[in-house]
Amino acid sequence: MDQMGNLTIQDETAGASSPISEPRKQKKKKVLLMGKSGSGKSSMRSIIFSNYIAKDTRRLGATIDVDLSHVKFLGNLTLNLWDCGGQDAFMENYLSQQRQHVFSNVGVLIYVFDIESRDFDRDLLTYRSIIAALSQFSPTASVYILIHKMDLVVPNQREDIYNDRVSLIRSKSDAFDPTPFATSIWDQSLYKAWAEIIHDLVPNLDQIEKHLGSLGKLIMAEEVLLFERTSFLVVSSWTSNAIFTADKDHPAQNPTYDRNERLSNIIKNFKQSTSRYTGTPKSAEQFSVFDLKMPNFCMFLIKFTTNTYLGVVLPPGEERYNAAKLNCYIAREQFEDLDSPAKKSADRGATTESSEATS
Amino acid sequence: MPRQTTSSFPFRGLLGNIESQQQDMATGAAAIAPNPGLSAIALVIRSRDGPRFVFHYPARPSNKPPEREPRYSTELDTEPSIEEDEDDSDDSDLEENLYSSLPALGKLDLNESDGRPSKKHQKSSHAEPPIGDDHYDEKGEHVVPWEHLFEFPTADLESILTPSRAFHKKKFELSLDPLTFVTYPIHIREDGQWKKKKSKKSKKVKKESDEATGSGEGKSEGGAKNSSGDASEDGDDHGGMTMFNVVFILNLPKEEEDERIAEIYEHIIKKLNKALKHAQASSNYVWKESEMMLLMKEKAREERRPMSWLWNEILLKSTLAGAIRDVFNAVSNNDIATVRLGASPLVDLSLQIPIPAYLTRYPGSDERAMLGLLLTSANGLVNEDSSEDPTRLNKHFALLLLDDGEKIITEIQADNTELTAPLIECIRLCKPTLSFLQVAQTQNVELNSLLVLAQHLIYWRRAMAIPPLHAREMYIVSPNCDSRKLPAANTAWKKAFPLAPSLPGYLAALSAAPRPYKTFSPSKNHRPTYLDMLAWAIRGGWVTPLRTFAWILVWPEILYEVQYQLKAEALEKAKNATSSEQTSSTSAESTDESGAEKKSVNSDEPLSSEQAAENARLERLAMKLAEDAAKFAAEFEKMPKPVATLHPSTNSAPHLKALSPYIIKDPHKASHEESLYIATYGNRFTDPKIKDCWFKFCSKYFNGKEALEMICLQEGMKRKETWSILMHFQETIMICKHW
Amino acid sequence: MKNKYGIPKKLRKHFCPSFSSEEDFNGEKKDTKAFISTSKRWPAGAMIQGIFFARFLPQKGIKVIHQSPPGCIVTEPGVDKPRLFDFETMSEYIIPKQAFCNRYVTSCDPENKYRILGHPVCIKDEKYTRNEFMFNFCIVIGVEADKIPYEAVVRRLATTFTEMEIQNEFLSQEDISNSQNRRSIAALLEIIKEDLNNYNECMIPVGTSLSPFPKSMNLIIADDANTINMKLFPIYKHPPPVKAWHVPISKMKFSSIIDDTWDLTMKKVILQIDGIKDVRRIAHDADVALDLAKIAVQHLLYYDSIIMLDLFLFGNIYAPTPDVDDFLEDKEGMQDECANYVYINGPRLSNFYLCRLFTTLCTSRTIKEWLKLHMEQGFPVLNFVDVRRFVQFGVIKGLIYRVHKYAVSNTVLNGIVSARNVGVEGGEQLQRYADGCHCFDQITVEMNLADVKIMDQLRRFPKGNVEIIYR
Repeated sequence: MDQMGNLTIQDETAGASSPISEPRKQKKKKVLLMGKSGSGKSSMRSIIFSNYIAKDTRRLGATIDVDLSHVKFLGNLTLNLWDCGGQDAFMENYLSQQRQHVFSNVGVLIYVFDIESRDFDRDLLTYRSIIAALSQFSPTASVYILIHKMDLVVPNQREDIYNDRVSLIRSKSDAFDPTPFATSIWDQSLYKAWAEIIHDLVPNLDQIEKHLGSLGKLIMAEEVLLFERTSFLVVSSWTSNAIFTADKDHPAQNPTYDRNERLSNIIKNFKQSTSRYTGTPKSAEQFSVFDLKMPNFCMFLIKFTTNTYLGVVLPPGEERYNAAKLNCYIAREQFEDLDSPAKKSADRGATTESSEATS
Repeated sequence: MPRQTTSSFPFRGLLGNIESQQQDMATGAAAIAPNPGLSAIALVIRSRDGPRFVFHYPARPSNKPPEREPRYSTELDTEPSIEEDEDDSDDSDLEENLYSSLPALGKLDLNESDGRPSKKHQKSSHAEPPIGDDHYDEKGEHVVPWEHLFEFPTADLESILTPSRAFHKKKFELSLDPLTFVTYPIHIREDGQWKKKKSKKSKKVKKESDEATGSGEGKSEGGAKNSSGDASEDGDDHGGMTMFNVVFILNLPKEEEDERIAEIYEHIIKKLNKALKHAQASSNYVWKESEMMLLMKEKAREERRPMSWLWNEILLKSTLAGAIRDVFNAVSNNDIATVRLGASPLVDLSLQIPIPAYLTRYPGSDERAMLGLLLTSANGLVNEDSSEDPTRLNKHFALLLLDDGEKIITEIQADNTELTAPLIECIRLCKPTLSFLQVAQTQNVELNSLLVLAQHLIYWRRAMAIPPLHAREMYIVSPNCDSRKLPAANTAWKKAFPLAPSLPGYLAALSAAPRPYKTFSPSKNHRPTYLDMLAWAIRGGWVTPLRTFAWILVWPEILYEVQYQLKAEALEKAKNATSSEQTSSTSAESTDESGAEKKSVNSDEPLSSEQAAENARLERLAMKLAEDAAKFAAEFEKMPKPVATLHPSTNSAPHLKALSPYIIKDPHKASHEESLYIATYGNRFTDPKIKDCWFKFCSKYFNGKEALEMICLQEGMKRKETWSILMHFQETIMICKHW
Repeated sequence: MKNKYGIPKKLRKHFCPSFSSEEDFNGEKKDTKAFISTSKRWPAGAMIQGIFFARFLPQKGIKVIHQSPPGCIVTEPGVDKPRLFDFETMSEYIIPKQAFCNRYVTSCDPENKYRILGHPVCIKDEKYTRNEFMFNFCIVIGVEADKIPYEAVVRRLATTFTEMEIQNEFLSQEDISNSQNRRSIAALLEIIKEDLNNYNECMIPVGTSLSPFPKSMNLIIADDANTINMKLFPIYKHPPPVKAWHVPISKMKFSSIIDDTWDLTMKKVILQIDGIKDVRRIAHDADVALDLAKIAVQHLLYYDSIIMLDLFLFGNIYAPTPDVDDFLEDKEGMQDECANYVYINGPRLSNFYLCRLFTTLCTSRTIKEWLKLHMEQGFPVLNFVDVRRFVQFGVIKGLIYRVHKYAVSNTVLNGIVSARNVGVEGGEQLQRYADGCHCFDQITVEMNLADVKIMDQLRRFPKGNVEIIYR
C-alpha cells in the first residue's frame, strides 16, 4: 500500500535517463550553522560529519566567512551545510551584503549558544537579527538551538541555567518555535541533539520506521537500529515491546536513556581505533559485518543500504540469529529504494553514459 | 560599431576546425602572436546550495608559465641549451634580491607555497596535492581528483571566485601568485530576472519572464517548490542561481600581464559572459547545464569514477562544457573560437584576440621576435588623408587572401549567414592586383559595401590589405621572414608552381638587388604566374614591397634666389615706407601746430622745451632709417643676381658656398620661405602638366610618408606616366627606398 | 639628496656596474655616447595611494588596525575624506581563507580604480586563540600604476613582520602592549608610504626603534630581518640572449666605477669591451669561458649599461627602415645628436649630408659600395664621418637595420624535409650553416672565416645547390 509511493517514484526514475530530470529525485536541505565565534560550530560539525573525535577539534582554526559542505544523506537527502564563521564582521556581512544569499532557501537553522559567553544579552541581540533575516527569506525554516559547552557548568546548576537561557531565547524567536538542546562535545548529548535534528530532516522517515518495525517483528528481534553512514547516528530504531513485557529481573536490557548515542559513540571510537591500527581510512567503510555474541544476548551490525548500517539485537540462539541476518540482507533491496530511489536509475544512467562514451 | 556587428556574424563551423588546417596562414600568423598565457577556464555559480564550482577545463591544467618565443628582433637562430642556463642563473640572481625575504618565510611552518616568487619556483618545485585520475583516501578523507584545481580546493575557490554584486558586470581581477583570475561576473537582477522585461515581446519570451518571477517567489519558499518535479521541465527552475561567472585563469610573465589581461578581457571574457547571460535569460541555459554537470560530478563522486572518464562524459553531454573547451583551445592557440551554446534559440558566437596582420616597424633588439609576420609600412587602415581609421579600409589598397580562395569559399558556404553570399562575391571579385576602387569601378559594385566585406574577411583572418601588386614595382625579401619554415614552404611552393625556380632561388634573386619585379619573369606571358608567386610569397611574409619615399630638397641656388627675392621685396617696402613716413611726419607736425594754435588761443605761451626735444628726436630717427635703408640698398647692389642654372644641384657659384642644401620636412605645413622654394622650383618647369603635377604632388606626396607608388592610384594616373613625370623632379626631391 | 634608484647590494657584489650614485649616472649621460636613450622603466613617485595593516581578530573578524593616510580604507573619526574603496567588499581578498594565505595576492576594486597588493600571512600555532594568527600588510596603488616594483616591498613587509611576530609576538601583543607601541606601527606605515613615494626607498630599523621589549631582546631582533630596508627599483625586461657574434658597446666609462667588490669575470670582460670586439673575441682575449662571458655581458645588458650591435665591417649592408623619416624630420634633435657623434674626422658639415647618407643606404649596397657612390658624387665621406659610429647611431636609433647574408642549400632543405641527414659533398664544414637560419656573422665568428672565405667554401657545394639570401 504505502509501497505505491515508492513504486511511482521508481517508475518515474526508470523512465528518466536524461540527467536533466534527475534533480527531481534530489532532495536538498540548506542547513545554516550559526552562532557566536568560537561557540563550537565547526567542532561539532567535524565530529558529526567528519569523524573527528572530541580532542581533534582543538586543532581547528577559525572559519573564514562560510564553509560549505554537501553531505549526501539518508533518504536521498543532501544536506548543504553552511558553517558560518561567527566573527562580528562576518555576521554583519551576512545580515547586510550577503543577506539574501545566506538566508534564502534555508531548510534548517541550527543556532549555537556558548553557555560560558560573558555577554549573553549581546548574543541574544545577534540571534534576534538572524531570526529576523530568516523570517524574511525563509519563513518556513525550522530552528534548533544548541546551548553548547554545558560540560563547563557545574552539574547541579545546569538544569536551571539551561532553562532560563532557553526561555529567554524562545522569547526572541518571533514566529519560529525553536527546539532547544543542551550539548557538549564531551558526552552523548551532542549525538542526541543531532540525531534528533537528523531524524526530523530525513524524508519519508515514517515509512522507513514502519518497515523497520515490520522487519523487526519478522525476524523476532528485540531491537533494531538504523544508523546513518557518515555520522553513524541512530536515525531510527524499533524496540520489541516484548522487552518491556519481559520480567524486570534483566536490568541489563533496560535501555539507558541515551544508549543509542553511546552506541554511536562507541562504534565511532571503534572505527577510529580500527582505522588507526589497520591503516584503513576513517571515512571508508571498514566493516561490512560486526557480530557480537554474548551469553545473554547477541547482536549484529551490517552494512545495509547506501547510506545506512543496520544494527539488530536478538536473544541468544544460533538459528534465529542466522535467519535474522539472512532476512535483513533480503530486506536490503526494499530499503535501498526508501533510502535513495535515485541510486538505481543513477546506475542505469551511468551505464548508458559509459556505453555512449565507448560507442 | 561595425567591428561589433561583424564579430557577431561568425564563420560558424569553418573556423572551429581551424586547428586541423596547420599550414593555414591564419594559424601561421596565430603561432606568431604572443601567447595569451591561458592556464584554465572555470565555471563557477551561486545557486540555492551556495557557491558551486561547476566545471573547469582542462581537467588537470599545467601550472607552467606559457612558452615564450626565445628569439628576439628578427633573429633566426637559437642556442636553447645555453639560453636556459642564462635564464635560470639570471632569474635566481634577480629574484634573490627581489624576494630576498623569501628564505625567511620558508623557515616558518606555513603551508607549502609560502610566498613563492612566481616563475622560477613552479618551474622546478611547485607544491601541489598529488592529484591523479583516481580517487584516493588520505587520513580518512576521500580525496576526489576534480575537487582540487592547481593547489587549491575547489571548495575554497568557489567562494572566492563568486564575487559580490558590487562586481556585477565589472572586471574582477584577483591574483593568487603566480595565477591571475580574471572574469566578468553576471548577477541576477534584483527583481529575480536575468534581463529587463521589455514591453513588447514575443509571447514565448513573455512566458519565460513570467516563470522567472514565479521562481523568484519560489526561492523564498525554500527547497520545497523547486525540488518538486515538473518545474525544471519548462526551464523555470533557476535552482536559485543568483550569479554565474566564467573565470579565466592566466599565468603570465609579470612584465606582460597587464597587456595580455586587457586583451583577453575585452575580446573574450566580456563577450563570452555576456553571451551566456543572454542564453540564461532566454532559456535558463547556464543553470540547466550547470545543474547537469554538478549532478554528473556528484554521481561520479559516489561511484568513484576516474576523472578522465567523468570529463569525457561531461564534454559529451554539456554544450556549455564543450564551449568552454573550445574557447580554451582556440584562445591558447591564438585561434578564433567559434562556439554554439545549446540554448534555445541557439547562441552562436565567434571570439578571438585580434592578431596583427603585419608589422609596421622593425622589431627592436629587446623585443620578442614575431618571425614570419609581413614587415611593411603600408597600412591599409590609414587613408589618403593619412588619418588612421580601424574601421575603414583605404580604397586604393587590394585584398590578398591568406588561403586558397576556393577553400575559403567552400568554408564560408558550409556556414550560411546573411553574409555568406556577399562574402563569396567579394572573394571572387577582389584580386591582389586591383585596388578596391578599381574592382568597384570595373565590376560596378558598391564600393563601401565591398570595403565592409573586405574588412570582415580581414578581421576574421581570411585576408589582408596590401598595396596592389604590380610588375613594375620592386619587391624584396622581408627582413622578418621566417627562414626556419623554408624547407616546408619550399615543398609547398614546388606544388603550387612546379615550373618556377625553387623558393630559395626565387628569394635569392629578389634579394640580390632590387629591380622592377617584371625583370624577374622570363617573358611577358610568365607574368601572371609570377604575380601569383609574388602573392604567395607576400602572403607567407617572405617578400615585402620596396616602396619609394621622397622629400623636397632645396639646393643653395634656390635658397639664394628666394633670399634675394625677399631682400628685394624688403627694399621695396622700405622705399614705400620712407615715402609714407614723410607724409605721416608732416601730418604729425600739422596736428602739433593745431594743438599749439589751440593753446595760443587760450594763452600765448612759447613752444615748451619738451616739444622741441621731441621734434629733434623724430628727425634723428628719420635720418637713421634713411641711412640703414641706404646701406641695405648698397649691400643688395653688391649681391650677385641669382641665376637659374639647369642643374641647381651642381651649381658651384662662389656666393652659394656658404649655403647648404635644405630639406622641407612637411610641405603640407610649409612656412613662407618654404612655399617660396616650392614655387621657385615650380616656376622653372616649363611644361604646364609637369608644373601642376609638381604643385599637386609636393604637399601630398613629398613628405617622406606617402609612397610614390600610391600616386598613380590616388591620382588616377597611368603608372608609367606618373613615373616619367617624377623623373623630372629627380633633382628637386630626395628619395629613399624602404619597405 | 638621496640616490633614487640603487642596485641592490647582492647584485652589486655579483657582476653589475654600480651606477647607483647620481654623479656616475648623469656624468655618463653627458658623454658623447649618451645619445643612447635608455628604455628602462623607473617607478614614478607618489604612487602609493594608501597603505594599511589588517588582521583577523578571533571575535571581530577581519579588521583594519592601522591605515595611512587616515580614513583611506575604513572611516576614522574626524576624517571626512571618501574611502578609496568599500573595505567590506574587498575584505575577503585581503584576509582570504587559509588556503590562499602565505602567497602574494592582489585584487582590484569594483570600480577598477585601485589595486590592492598584499601578502596575507597565516601563522599556525596552538598558542593563538584560534590556533592561527592572520594578518596582511597591504599597499594600494592606482590600477594604471606599474605594480611590479611593489611586489618585493609587499613580500618584504610580510616576511619581516612574520619574523617579528614569531620572535616576540610583535603584532599579536600589539593591542595589549603600551599605546606608544600602537602608534609606532601606524607611524611605521606612514614612514614607509612617505619614503617610498618620495625617495623610492626606505630604511627603518624596526627592531630597535619599535620593539617594546628589553635591550637583550633588541639585540636579537635588531638584525637584518627586522630592519625594514626596502628599495623600489625598476624590474627590467629580461635581456635578450647574447650572441657570440654580437658586439657590446658601453654606455659609460666602466673604468670610473669598477671596484674590487666586482666579480672577477666581469672585471676581465669589461676591460675588453671596446665597441669593436665581438663577444667571442672578448671571451678569448679576456681568457674567460664563452658562456661566462655571455652571462657577464647579459648582466651589463640587463642594467642597460651596454648596447649590443652587429659586427661592423665595410662589407656589411645596411638599409633604411621607415623610421628614417624621423631623422629627416629631425625628431628630438636627432640630427645634431648624430652630428656630434659622427663628425669627428674633420670639419663639421651641415646635417643635410647625414640625411643624404642615411637615405642612400639600401638593401643592395655594401658600405664599401656606398662610400664609393658618394666619392663619385664628390663627397669623400671618410674625411668627415666616422662611418662605424654613423652606422651605430643609425642602428641604435632604429633608422637603419643590418641586412644579413644567409646561405641556403637545397640539399640541406630536402634533408630537413625528409628528416634525413644527407651529406653535401664539398659542404662538410658549412653544411650545418646552410639552412638559411645562420647569418654569415655567425659563421665568420664561429668558424673564424672571412666573408670571402665563406663564399669560396660555398662554391665547393654542387653547382646551383646553394643560394645566398640577403635578409
